[in-house]
Parts: sequence; structure tokens; C-alpha cells
Amino acid sequence: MAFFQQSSREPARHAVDPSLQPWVEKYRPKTIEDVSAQEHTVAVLRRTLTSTNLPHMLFYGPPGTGKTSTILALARQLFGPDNFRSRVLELNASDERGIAIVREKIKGFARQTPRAQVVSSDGNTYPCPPYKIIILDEADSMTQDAQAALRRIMENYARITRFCLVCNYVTRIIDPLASRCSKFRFKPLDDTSTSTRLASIAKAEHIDVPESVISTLINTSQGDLRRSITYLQSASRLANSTSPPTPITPADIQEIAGVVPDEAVSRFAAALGIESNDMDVDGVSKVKGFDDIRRKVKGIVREGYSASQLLTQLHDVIVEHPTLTARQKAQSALALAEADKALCDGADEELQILEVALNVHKAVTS
Amino acid sequence: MSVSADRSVLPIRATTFDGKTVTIRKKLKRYNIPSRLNTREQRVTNLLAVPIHRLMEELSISKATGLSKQYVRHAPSREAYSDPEAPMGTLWVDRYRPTCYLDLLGDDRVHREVMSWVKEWDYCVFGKKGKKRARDEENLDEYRRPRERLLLISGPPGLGKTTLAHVIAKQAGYEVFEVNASDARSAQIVDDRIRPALESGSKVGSSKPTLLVVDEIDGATGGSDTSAGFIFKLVQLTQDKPKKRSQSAKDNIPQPNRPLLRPIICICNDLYASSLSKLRPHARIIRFNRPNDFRLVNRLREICEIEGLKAQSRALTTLVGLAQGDLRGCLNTLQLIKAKNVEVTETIVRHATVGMKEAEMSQTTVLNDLFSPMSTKRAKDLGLGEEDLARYVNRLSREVEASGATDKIAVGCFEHYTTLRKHDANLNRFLKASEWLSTYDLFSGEMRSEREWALLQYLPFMLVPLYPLFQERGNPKVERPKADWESYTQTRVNEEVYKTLAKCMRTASTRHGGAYRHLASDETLQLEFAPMINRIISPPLRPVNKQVIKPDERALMSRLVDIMVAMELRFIQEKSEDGQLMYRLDPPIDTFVTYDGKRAADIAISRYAIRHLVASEIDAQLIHKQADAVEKAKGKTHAFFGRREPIEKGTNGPAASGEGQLLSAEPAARAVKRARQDVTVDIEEKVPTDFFGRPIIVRKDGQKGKPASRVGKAHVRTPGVAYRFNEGNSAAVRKLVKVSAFL
Amino acid sequence: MSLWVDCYRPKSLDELHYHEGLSARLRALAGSGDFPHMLFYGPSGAGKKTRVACTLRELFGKGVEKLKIDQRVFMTPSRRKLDVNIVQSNFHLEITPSEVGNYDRVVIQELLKEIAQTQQVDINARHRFKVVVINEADTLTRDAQAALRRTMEKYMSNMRIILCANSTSKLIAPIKSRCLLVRVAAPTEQEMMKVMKHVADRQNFRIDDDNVIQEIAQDADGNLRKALLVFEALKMQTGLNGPITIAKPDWETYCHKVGDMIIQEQSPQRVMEVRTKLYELLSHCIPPSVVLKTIASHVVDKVDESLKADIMHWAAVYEVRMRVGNKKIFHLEAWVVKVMSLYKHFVYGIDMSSFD
Repeated sequence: MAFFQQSSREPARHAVDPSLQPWVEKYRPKTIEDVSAQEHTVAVLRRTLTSTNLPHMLFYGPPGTGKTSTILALARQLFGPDNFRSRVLELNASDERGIAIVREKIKGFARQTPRAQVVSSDGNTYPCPPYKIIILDEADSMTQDAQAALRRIMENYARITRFCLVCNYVTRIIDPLASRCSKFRFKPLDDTSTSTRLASIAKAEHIDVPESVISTLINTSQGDLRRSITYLQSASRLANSTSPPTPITPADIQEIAGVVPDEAVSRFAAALGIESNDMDVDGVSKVKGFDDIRRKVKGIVREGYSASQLLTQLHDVIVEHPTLTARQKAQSALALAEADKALCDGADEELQILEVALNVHKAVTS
Repeated sequence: MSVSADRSVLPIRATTFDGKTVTIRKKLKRYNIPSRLNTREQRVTNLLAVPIHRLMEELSISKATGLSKQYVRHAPSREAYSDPEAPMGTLWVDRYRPTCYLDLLGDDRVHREVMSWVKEWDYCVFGKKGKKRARDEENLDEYRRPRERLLLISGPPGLGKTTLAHVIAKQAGYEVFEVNASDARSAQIVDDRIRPALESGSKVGSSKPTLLVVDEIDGATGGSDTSAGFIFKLVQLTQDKPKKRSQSAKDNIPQPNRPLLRPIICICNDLYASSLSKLRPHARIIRFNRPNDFRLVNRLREICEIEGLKAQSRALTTLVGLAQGDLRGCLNTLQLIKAKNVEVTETIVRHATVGMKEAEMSQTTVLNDLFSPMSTKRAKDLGLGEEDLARYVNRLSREVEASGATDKIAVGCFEHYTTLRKHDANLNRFLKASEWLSTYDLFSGEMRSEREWALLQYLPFMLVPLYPLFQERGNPKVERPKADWESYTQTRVNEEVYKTLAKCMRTASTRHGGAYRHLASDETLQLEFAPMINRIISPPLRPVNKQVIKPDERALMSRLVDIMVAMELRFIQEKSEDGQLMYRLDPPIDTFVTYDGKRAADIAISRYAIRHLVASEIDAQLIHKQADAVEKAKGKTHAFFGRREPIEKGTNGPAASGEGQLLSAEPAARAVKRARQDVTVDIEEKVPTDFFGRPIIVRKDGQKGKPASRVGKAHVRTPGVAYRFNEGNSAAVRKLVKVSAFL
Repeated sequence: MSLWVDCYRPKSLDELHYHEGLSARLRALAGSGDFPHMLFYGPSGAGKKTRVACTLRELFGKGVEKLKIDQRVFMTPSRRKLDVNIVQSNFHLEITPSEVGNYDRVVIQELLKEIAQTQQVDINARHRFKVVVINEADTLTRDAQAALRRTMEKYMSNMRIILCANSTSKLIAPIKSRCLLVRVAAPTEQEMMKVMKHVADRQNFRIDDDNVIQEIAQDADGNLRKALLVFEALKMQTGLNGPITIAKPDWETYCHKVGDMIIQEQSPQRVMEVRTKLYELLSHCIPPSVVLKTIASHVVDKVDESLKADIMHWAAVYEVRMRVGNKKIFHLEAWVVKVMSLYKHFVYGIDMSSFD
């Protein structure tokens, strides 16, 4: 019975075979010094470590830039493993965070006076400042009401409680809340820090990752370190599970990331009349009219590629194309933009791809 | 609220002349004098009781304002209800509210009708009074109540329906108990407040019996559960009682539910509001019409004179025309004018009535206004010139907004615009109209999903453009939109069918290794599975006797039966309206692959005989399966099977419908009994045997007229084992029984 | 004994007929003991669910086929009760969130937490985690998806999630980045024919004429499930001897009829007639975008080349509007009127420039 209770209280942390642990968790920065490529933020936070004076914080930025990692690392450094549990409350979108929870759970936690410092079991000394931290992860998915209810709580208990809001879209945080926090913007990771990070993980995991794979990873993940790590792990899983283990190839990464293979995109583009010079597409005959385009689109849809992904890649092909005129590019981009909006609204993928294909075809051939 | 105002007038009297009023009422009863006269007397006493100097003052004021005295002399009683004691702050509407029957304006016939209905209660309420109305008695029940125990007064607002109810109630000697829109109107209210009020018979501290007035009964009721509940309860209150009463009458036991002994008057604006549909059949319905304009003008003129307001009759006529007979509106307007001016002229009236009536636009009116130009008469009433008429946007958008049901109006527009005969060869108008409607829906959809209620204000403007596109004199009147609703209900029905089918397949899947459920997701089911399963289960079988069937058809048949058994599809025998027996597929998936009521050409018509054949085969198969399962369970005594069996029964019991499932949910004993009996006679359903006397299937079951399931059972009686399965809920009766035991 | 589409559905990874490379990967993953969250995506009828089922079997063995259906009641914050059917075995469970509509977040939160916090009881189980299969994951609301993202990381030790979606476009990036994406492309015609032949083999009949199954395969447009259903329907109806005409689903035939009506005549009258037909289609629970797409593609086949692009363009435009709006019929009709007008102007050669 005790076993169960314990497991339900602390499900994520116990008894995970390290080899099965997601690398994202495994290589999460242990200290804020480990956080990649957020020098400014780290510099500011380091100062708070020494002075133990922490403002309310709002971390925002695209996914996978280390927001959650930073605050967790910071909290761990402040309180040490023993106090962590009693001093930090972490709530995320998977928890119910309606107004009721804000009023009861958060307020209740905020209200408690922090207990005296427990002597650290691992012999290190931690600053352990006299306040608690409440981490609201994915705060942009909180309702307006719940956010509004937070306002007074933040002020009333500022003496003993610090809030850290973590979100992707700062615009979704109501202004009164945002103005109470010092904001930290997390920028997308640059390529070098991503690649160093990936290389270090690869080394730690004893896998052989060629340079081309790393660059593919960086390309597909677009500054999202978590994504590139996840992809790397998935790829290595796939590679290791076959016997004998095969090396990881860029194509593997693309397949895992749900990226449409370059070849397929350029074939599609070529079919629409976009000449491609660096690739051999003799096999593709240019389309004659509507029916051909339709057939082509059907083929793409049958392959199961995601429409938004396809459009993004098509966009890259068109915009970076050396010979198309600016006007042609603009027209195509317009069609792509509209289709992207439509897809966000939940439009039918086939119709939208067809629409884009027709428009691009018109723009390019005219 | 009119009533509360009314009451506020009454108590003044009551406090001043309390004892007197009561005695007069008693007189009413005692002497049985026609109340009309009586109240007149009462009025006179009232009048006399008013300090004479005050009256004189009034008179002198009215003289001073230059009114001709003759009106005052002609109608001395009228002056009385300009209740002199009322402070100047009271609304004219209240001040000039008729207080006795004679003061009522409008159609006398209507008043009489209401009065006579109330009078019909006299015997029941006041006892002996009813005797002189003996000629009505054939209509009355044991309490001599009117046959319809509810009175429903309907009519446009402001004509005095509520006043009528109150006046008549008072006249007939009742105390009014009113429930209106300000009260919560839930089913609970009926129990908590109305029933006690009606059953106690009279209010506390009052000797008069109660009369219930339910005002604005159509108002807050949107057909939602609670309000429908209110009306349902109300009807129940009037209807249910006599039955219960008649049972308890013999025992002379006072029942908690006593019969309704007090009249109920309901008042509504829209007689055909959907929420009232349950009420209408139980109520006597009286329509309130717009009083004669002339009489209204006269009344207004009198009031103006009393109030010292100079009024041109043309101005008053205009006012009445503008208000469309709404006397309350007229009075309010006049009072407003009085506050600023001393004279009522046409321009002032026009000025003051801007925006009048706008809050009371019914859907159909708005639609009509959208699709046809304003009638010239109305335009004249409103004093609108050509130019003003051309400026329609403001007017119409406000109308649409005021109707409060923009969505319904949009649907109405959508439904109506195609019916118009306007020449539109190149579909330009249609193009624009559909574009506007589509934009409208875009806005409203966005508004709802994102909760951006700020968008609401723009919605009416999306519908107004239809006016220049389609307006034409002599356009057909707009009907209540119904196609959309019909389609909606039809969709619901079909959705239900899909759901049943999906459920069937889910339960089936638990039994057969869990594989069907991948077919049960919505789209797959609708787009791929439903049309195909229909084809799969309607192979071209010939309706021949089971014994002479060809081997390949035999194979087809058994395959069909297998599929249907596995998918939990059944044929259920039913009788159509004309007495024909037929087999219905259950769940009725064959109905929704047919469009426009026609079945697809490539599906063979499934004839009765074939379905019959299949149905019996299915039943046979089912019995076999169950028998097999039991055999297995017996043979192996494998724990798994033992456990599995009840689960199966539990799950398929509710899913499989009724007969098709055979005995599955029944206790074994009963099943066994039935099995024995159905050799000789059918116990439950008595279907005439001659329907079964069809030559094709005569050999099979010609003599036994019973539904398919039984027939099927009869077939498989040959393997005696069929009766040995353990079945049902109670383990006590599960035991092996030899067939011979029954024979 | 059941439908072919069901009884010849592969039960294990070895039985799968196509995408061998994918099968090998899945097998490897399932065998490695290091099983990630997965997201299967691909067009309808390509075999996603089949592959999920096969993978599960590979993971846990035959036990996953012992299923029971649980009716669970969830309570929304607004105190509404939700009944949810959950198919589960000892090792996994399946939910279809579209059944609960807008309240899927509640179900996801409750259910996943509950599973995450209980340990696998079966000692013989090969893996200590349970698998949650979420069907039609692209219908998950944003809220529900947000609720998933952290759960997926936090409860990794006790639970794996397999999502099944027609397209990844509607899934938020954080979810995609936490899953191993598995694309299941539609089978080619040859592959479909192979499967049909296999079925025929097992059913002990021969297909004399390859054209028959080829026609079926072409018609099914990459949807193997549909192909098999048609195949069986034809077998039942005609015995598959000699030439066949492929039975289109009724709604499709009906849509084609509507398309013909649009082309035959363009008048207010006709608009009205088409409207009744559209209502009929919608009331048969055919999704409106399917209706629009089917009619559009039929109309496009019958009109002049110069009109095709326009018609498709407007179909795309109104399809999006339909998703946002409530009254699907408004947009359907708007499109019909648009097409009629386009067609008419084309036929009568009236200048079209004023109609943009």
C-alpha cells in the first residue's frame, strides 16, 4: 500500500531506468549555468542567486528554449533537493487551473509561511531564501478569470511567495499580471549552441552522429532544442533497434520530424512549373492543366504528408528560388499565407493544397 | 408590473375605506345582485367619500384649462378613476386604468366572453349562485366547472389584457393572485406557490376567493425544460385532479391533491409560441383585438381634458395609428408630452414616438419588413416621406436587432429569398444575398466560438442588404421558417441511428476480439460503412423455400446470416399502418442510405419473404451460438468462459433490441416455459394467422402465427440441446432439463 | 465470421501487407523496451489503427485482444455529467475524444492522471507502462492538447500515448515534438490489389479478371477499408463473375446528382431545388465539407477548363467559412449560387470582370 501511495505522489521521479528516460529530462540543465544560449537571462538570475532577492518573473519565448528548465534549475539551486518539495509548487496545463484552483490551491500555498531551512542532506549549502516559488507553466492557457484572480494574490503574498509564469505567447497574459513581473524573453537557440548541445548529448549516449544529421536536426527543429533532442533520441532508438544497428541518416530525422522529404517537395514544385536547377527532375513532366494538378495534389495527400508542413516547405522553395520574379514570389506567398490561415481554422487539407497549387501554378506560369 | 402598480392603487383604498369595502363585497354575495350595478354603487360611495372640495378643485382646474364641461357631466364616473388622491407622480397608465367593467374599452364581445367564463365558475366557487345558470350544466362536471379550466387571452401588448383580467376578476368577486414574468416560473413554483394559493381558496385575511392570473405566460418560456415544466405542471394542475378526485371521493379521504376549484386566466402575446402548444388544447382561447381607433381617440381626448392637455384630434388619431392600438403606449406618450408641452400637436406626437413599438417586433414582422416595403398607410402614420423610406438601413437594422432573434431571422431570410419571384436571370441578386448570409454566419460563428460578443452589434447589418435586393410590393408573406428546423430534427433522428449502430458494433467488437470498433468512428461509419453494409446485407436472394434453396444461394445466405449476427443487425417484424406485416431492419440503417425516399438502384428490394427467411435463420444461428457457448462452458469448465458468459449477456442485452435477442435476458425458467408453449400457442403477441398464409412460406410456419423470433425458435427445436443452456440472472434455476420433461 | 474488412485485418506486424519498412521499425521499437510516445498519421483507410493494434500486440502479446468496454462518468467543472465509452484491456485503453465534444480536456486530464498514477498490476506484463490510444487526435481541442503536453513528459514512466490522426496540421507543435511521428501513407493500387487477392484466396474463390479488382482499387482512392467493403458488397451482390459496376455509396451518387443539377440549369428555381437536396444530404449526417468537396469535384469534371480553377477556388473559400460558421447550409448554397453564376456567365459569354 505504501508503495502505491508513494508512487502516486511522486510518479515521475522514482525508479525510471535511466536508459529509458527521455533525454529531454535526462539532460535537463542541473544549474542555470548549464542553460544554453540564454546569456542575458542567466546573468540576471545568477545575481539573484547571490542576493537571494527574486522578483516575480515572466518567462516567455518559443517552445524548447529552456524556460521551464531554467526556473527548475534555479529553484533547485536556491533550495536544494530537500526543501524543493516544500518550497516549490509547479502547476501546468495538465492540472486543472480554473479560477477555483487559483483561489484554493494557489492561494493556500502562497499563504503558508515557509518552514525553516532543513539542513541539507547532501552536505552542500543552499541559499534557501525565505520565500516559496510558484511556477505556473504554460500560463498562456490559463483563463482570463484565473489570471485576474492571481493579481491580488501576487501582491498580497509577495513577501513570502514568488511567482514565475512560463508561457509561449506573452500576449495571452493579461497586462496587469505581466506588469507585475520582470519579463525574460527566451530567444530561439542559435545553431552553434544547439549543435554543441546535441554533440555533447551524443557523446554522453555513445552514439555516432554525423555532421549532416546535426545540421538536419537544427533545420527541422528551428531553434527548438527539445525537439531536436527528442528527434535525436527517436532516431537513435530506431537505429539501435535494428540489428545490426544502422547509422542515423538525415532522411531518418526528416521522417521522424514529419518533414516532407526534400525530393517530394521539389517534385511537387517542379510539377507546378517552378524550375529547379540544383536537382534533377527530368522524370517529372510539367502539368498541362487543372486535372493534372489535381492528380498531383491527390497523390501528395495520399502520401499522408501534413499540409501545413508541405506548405511551409513549399514556401521555402519558392521564396529562396533564384529565378522567379519578385511578383511571382509575392503572389505565391499570398496564396500560401491564406491557405495557412485556412488550415488553422480547420479547413480541408486537400482543398487547400489544391488551392495553393492552382494559385502558384497561375502565378508562376503567367 | 402593471399589476403591482394596480395593487398600489388598491391598498390606498383599502386602508382608507377598509371596512366598507369588505361589507360591500359581502353584500355582493349576499344579495346576489348583478355585480355590475353593485360596483356602480360602490363607485358612487367612493366618489362621495372623496372630499368634495378636492373634487371641486379638480373641476375648477379643468374649467380653467378651458375644457368643455359636458364631458365631465356626461361621464361622471370617468372622473373618478383619475384618482384624485394619487400623487401627481403616478403613471397615467395606472391613473386611468379601468377599474370596473363598464370602463373597459375595446370589444364588448370579448369582455362578455371572459366574464361569462368566469361566471361559469360561480357555482363551483360561490356555491348557490350557479343555480340560475342551470342551462349550462350539461357542460359542467361534478363541480360544475367549465370544461376548459384555463382561459388563455392572447393579443398584442398594450391593449389591456391584464387589466381586463383584473377588472373582471374583481367584478366577479375574486381576489387576484398574479404570477408574472417577474416571478420565477419553474415547475416548482406551481407546487410551492400556485397550488397552495389555489387550494386554500382565498388569500390570508381576505374572504374573497382567489383567481389565478398568469401573466406573460409566453414570455420567459423558451421551450426549455423548466418552463415547459411550468406549463406542463399547470396543465396537470387543471387536468390531473378530477381523476384522482373521483377515486378518492368514495373514500372521503382528504387527498393532498385536491381538485382545482378556482379559475385560472393565462395571458400571452403570441398565441402560437411553441411553449404554449401543450396549453392550448386545454384552454379556452380568447383573442384580444385592437379596439376601435375611434373609441381610443375618444378615451384619449377625455384623458387629455382631465389632465388639462390641449389635444387636436388629428394628433390623437396619429398617435393611435402610430401606436397601433397600444393604449398603454399612447398614455405614456401623452404623459411624456404633458411634461413638456401643454398642447398635443401632430409634430409633437411624431417627435415623441420616435422609437416607439420597437421592442415588440416579432420575427415574422421583421422578416416581412425586410422583404417588402413599408405599407403606404404605415408610412403615412409614421410621417415618413419618400426620402426617409429610402433610408432603410437604420430602420431595418434596428428592427432586426430589436427582434432579439437575429439568428432566426437569418434563417428566415435564407429560406425566403429563393421563393421570391423577382427576375434574376444572371443570379446577381442571389449571389449577393448568399454572400451576405454567408458573411453573417461567419461573424456569428466567430462570435460564438471566440465569445466575442462585441460582434453582435454588426450582425443586423448583414441582413439589411437583402432589402434593396429583394423588396417588392406584393412579395408573398413570409412564413415561419421551417425547413431548417425540419432538417435539424431529421439530422437528430439519423444521428441517433448512427449512434445505435456504432453502439451495436462496439458491443459486437467486445465479443469478437474487438475488431469492429475501428469502423465505428463517426466519419468512417457515415461515409463508408453505412452505405456498404447495406449492400452487403442485401444480396439478390430469391424468395424460395428453405428446403429447395440452391447450394450457392445457400452459401450466400449463410454468409449473410453470419454477418448480420456478428454485427448485431436484426430484422424485426412489425405491422405497418395498413396491417401489412413487414420486417424492419434494426438499427434501421437502410433508411438513411436512401435519399428522397428512394432506395439506390443497385440495391435489390428486400422483400418480405426474404427478410422473413433471413430473420428466422438469424434466430436459429443465435440459438446455436448460445447453445455452443454453454456446451463449451460445460465441457471445459474453463474459468474464462464462465466469467465471460455473463458479461456477454449483460452487454448485448440492452444493445440488441427486444425480440431479436431472443431469450438472452430472461430467466431460464421463463424461457423454458415459453419454449414449450410456443409449440401450441403464442402468449404475448396475437398476430392474425392469415397474414402468414403466404404460399411461399406456408410450409415453414403456416399454422403458427407468431413473430419471427418464435418461429425461429420453433425451427431449431430439433436439437434438444437448445433448451439446456444456462441463462438468466439466477443461478438457482440453471440446470439441465431434458426436453422430454416438457413434453 | 464477420466482414472481410474485419476478419482479414492483420493482427500482428508480420501479417501486414505493405509498408514493410515501417513494420520493421515498429517491430524494432516494440522490441527495444524503449518505447516512445507515438503519433500515427496518414489518410483515412491507410491502416493506421491496424498498425497501432499490431504494434500493441507486438508490445504486450495476445493479452491486448481481451477487451472490455467501460462506461465511465466524468464530471465537468460546470457539473455536467459525461458518459464516455472506454475500450480497454489489461495493458492499454482506447478513447475517442470526439465523443465528448468540447469537454475532452476534462476526460483527458482525469483519465491520464488516473492511469499515470497506477502501476501495472500484472506481474507478467512485459512492460511496466500502459498505453493510451487516442483515436482521432486531430479533433482534440486546443485545451485538451495543452493538457496533454506536460502529462506526456511527467508520466513517461507509467504511460505511453499513441495518437492516431488523419493529419498533423491540427496538432499543436509541443505535442508533435514529444512524439515519434509515424507516417502511414495510403497503399498503392498494386498493394490494394494484393490485399484483395489475399482475401479472395482465403475465401476460396478466384478472381478471373484482374480488371475487376483494379477498378475497385482505383475507385477507393487509397482507402483500403473502403476497397474491401466494396469488394465484399460486390461479391454479395453479383458474385464477382463478369463485368461489374462499382456501387458508389449513396451519398456520393446523390452528390453527383446535385452536381449535375447545377450544371443543367442555373435559375432561382434550381437554387431552391438544390437546397432541398443539400438539406437532405446534411440530414443524413454527411459532413458538409465532404458534401462540398464531392459536389465540387464532380462539377469540375464536367465544365470547361477555364472554369475549373475558379470553381475549386470558391469551394476552398467556402469550405473554410463553413468551418468557422454555424449554418453550413448558408455556405453550401453560397457556393452553389457562385458556381451557377460563374457557369452562366461563361456559357453566355458575359464579361466576368465585374464579378470579383
